Amino acid sequence: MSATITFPAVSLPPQTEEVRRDVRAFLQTCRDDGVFTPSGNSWAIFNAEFSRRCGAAGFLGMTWPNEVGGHERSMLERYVVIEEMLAAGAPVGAHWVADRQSGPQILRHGSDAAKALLPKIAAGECYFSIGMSEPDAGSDLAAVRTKATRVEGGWQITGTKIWTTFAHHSHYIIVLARSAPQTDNRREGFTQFICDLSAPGVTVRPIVNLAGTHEFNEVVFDAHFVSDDFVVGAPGQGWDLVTGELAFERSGPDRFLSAHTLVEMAVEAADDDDRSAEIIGGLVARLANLRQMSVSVASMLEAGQSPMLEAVIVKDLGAVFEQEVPDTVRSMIDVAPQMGGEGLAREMAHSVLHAPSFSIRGGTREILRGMIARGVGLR
Amino acid sequence: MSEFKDILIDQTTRVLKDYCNHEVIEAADNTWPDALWDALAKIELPLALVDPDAGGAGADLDDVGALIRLSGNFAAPVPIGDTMVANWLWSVAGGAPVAGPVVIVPDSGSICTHDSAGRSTTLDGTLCGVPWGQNASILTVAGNTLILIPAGGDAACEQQHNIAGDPRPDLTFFNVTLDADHTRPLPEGWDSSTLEEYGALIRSAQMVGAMDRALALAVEHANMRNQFGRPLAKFQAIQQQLAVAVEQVASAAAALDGALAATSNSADFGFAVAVAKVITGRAATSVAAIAHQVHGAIGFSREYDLQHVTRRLWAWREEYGAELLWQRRIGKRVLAGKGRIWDFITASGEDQKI
Ligand SMILES: Cc1cc2nc3c(=O)[nH]c(=O)nc-3n(C[C@H](O)[C@H](O)[C@H](O)COP(=O)(O)OP(=O)(O)OC[C@H]3O[C@@H](n4cnc5c(N)ncnc54)[C@H](O)[C@@H]3O)c2cc1C
Repeated sequence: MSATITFPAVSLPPQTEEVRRDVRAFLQTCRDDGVFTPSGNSWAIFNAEFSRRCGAAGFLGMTWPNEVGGHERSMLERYVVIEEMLAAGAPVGAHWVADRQSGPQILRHGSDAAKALLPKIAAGECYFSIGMSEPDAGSDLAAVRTKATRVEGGWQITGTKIWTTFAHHSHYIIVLARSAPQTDNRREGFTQFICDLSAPGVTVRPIVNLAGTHEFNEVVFDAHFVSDDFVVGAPGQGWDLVTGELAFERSGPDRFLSAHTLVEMAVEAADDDDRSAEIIGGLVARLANLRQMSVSVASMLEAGQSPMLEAVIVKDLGAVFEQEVPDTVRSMIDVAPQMGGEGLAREMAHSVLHAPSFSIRGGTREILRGMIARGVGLR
Repeated sequence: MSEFKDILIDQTTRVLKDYCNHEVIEAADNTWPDALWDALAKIELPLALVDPDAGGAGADLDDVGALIRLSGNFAAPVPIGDTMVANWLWSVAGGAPVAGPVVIVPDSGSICTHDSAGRSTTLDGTLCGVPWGQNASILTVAGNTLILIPAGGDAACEQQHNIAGDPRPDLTFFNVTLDADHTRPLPEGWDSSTLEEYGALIRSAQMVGAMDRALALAVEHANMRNQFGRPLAKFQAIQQQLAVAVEQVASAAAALDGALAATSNSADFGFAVAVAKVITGRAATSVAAIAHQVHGAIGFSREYDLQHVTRRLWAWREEYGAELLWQRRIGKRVLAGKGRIWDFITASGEDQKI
């Protein structure tokens, strides 16, 4: 058995270049209008104005059918849009989860009532959070204890979610809850629910991160009612739906571009000498390689395959890369990180402070590597 | 093309299985492995890439990339990849391909003088570290001229080896004159780095093959070897290391595929090759280290096959430009362009020329 995983080389179809020009022009306009200044880790930056503009420009729900507000574009066209936005350090955080995973999941497994939310997502006006992690369920997601109890016309949710990004801004959260008692198979008996964050029985408490910003939260559900048509898929399907979306979630350009704004600023500030050239060339080669692998996964997804292992590989390699960026830059130019302000010093501080999360969010390094090992026949 | 590719891979695998065993590889530092080469020649690999009109098999670069990778997998101590590519390049320039081994020396400008009428070329001086220099013809560039130096005899040979033990002698020529049959004007679109780029592509492909093997051996060993009452593969520390090796081999294979898919004479070919050489070189370092760690002492023994591929990984990452050289080239281009590196990465053609 060969342990070598292949990523066939794919070149982006010509029409994607048109999309690339459009999105670059759009981003320029947004910058000119003062909607944003570039920043790293920009999918964790909430900016509703930017998201509404994305919606109006047709950059959200790109692959969805017209009748739900989508634009029936290919996954590779969408890929170009998101890579351009991330490379430009644009604040995609408000719509990120809704556009990347909640929307597609509702499209495939949602009721008509749930699908009625899709046009709002595509307009950049309706935002979602992910309700998976709990105080006692991190990597071991099957330890989730939030309980869904059957009631007349729906379900009652009780429990606590934690590390929930933007629960204080989002309209909805998709919650993974235990809807049937645990059996020998710990992965059975889970269901996903679309919960309205503004409804009774939901309390959102801030958790400030080490950089001093409020991104994530604790979300407490106390007998919160969800009607049957806000169940995603069938009851009991929760685990399969959660793992099914991971390939989409794990292989995108967000997994290696978190420190890209710093890379660009550092190249601009670098001396024109051999040493800088060698360091920059190393960054460019790795970036080009990761991008090629990520595009390859996108085209496997487009072809209806489910490249789970490939996605995991891109995510782990990407996290290692983006975490190494600050130190690579430090080895090339002298810059004292500074909180606040703009420019290189601010960007360095931002990257140093956020880098630890890159190999934790979306599946930790150790968990990903465990999956790879199993994938090639170890264990 | 794909059925043809399968046949080529099948045939080559069989030859390598039969003729490229431990003893052959061990003996190859001082004796040219005749039987192995003859078997490869018999299935016409030296001319595989050459156009059928010029007497070749008409395979494409992607097919041949797979064969070179295979030769790396078996740690083949012969320049079969070099020969396939060099013969093709020579024939593209209008030269008649040769059946024997051909290797690439990117630049021989310092030892060549061309007579003013362009009818002959004189070699005077030393070419260092020529792969199998005492057995192979040499494809090289001096100025605007592509030269094929025929194998055998005309140079003084001082034997040297790379750290895999493969011959890399220094060849000294004393006023050797080659006639016009051995020179061609550099074809349209080629420049002084073209041969080096192909050399780097060949070594990248060999490295990916060698890494396939190192990883396969390590995974197999981890599943077979028991300590503390269970296979090594059960230990999480081992799993985590091997997962990194899997990632590194995958990224190297992807970079290689990217370079093989780049149109061979397009302006962005050089960048694709540069990325491949940087990524495969980096991966080689990591995969060799992990494969050895997982093997324990047996991997450090001469008798065990792992060293055939790991020593070649350490040698090949240096040949036709180590990572640093290609990084410098990419970086200089980016610094000279003054634009965003993102624009460079997403560009193609002339805009991505290094
Ligand atoms: C910035 C950020 C945003 C986030 N946003 C969200 C969100 O919006 N919604 C949401 O649901 N969650 C979110 N998370 C939570 C994230 O999914 C979890 O942090 C992650 O799954 C890991 O869980 P944990 O933090 O409990 O760590 P743990 O699982 O406790 O792990 C701690 C350490 O132990 C290691 N470890 C655990 N199990 C094993 C094992 N079996 N073998 C070896 N090592 C092991 C881990 O790799 C890690 O190094 C976010 C996290 C971050 C950092």
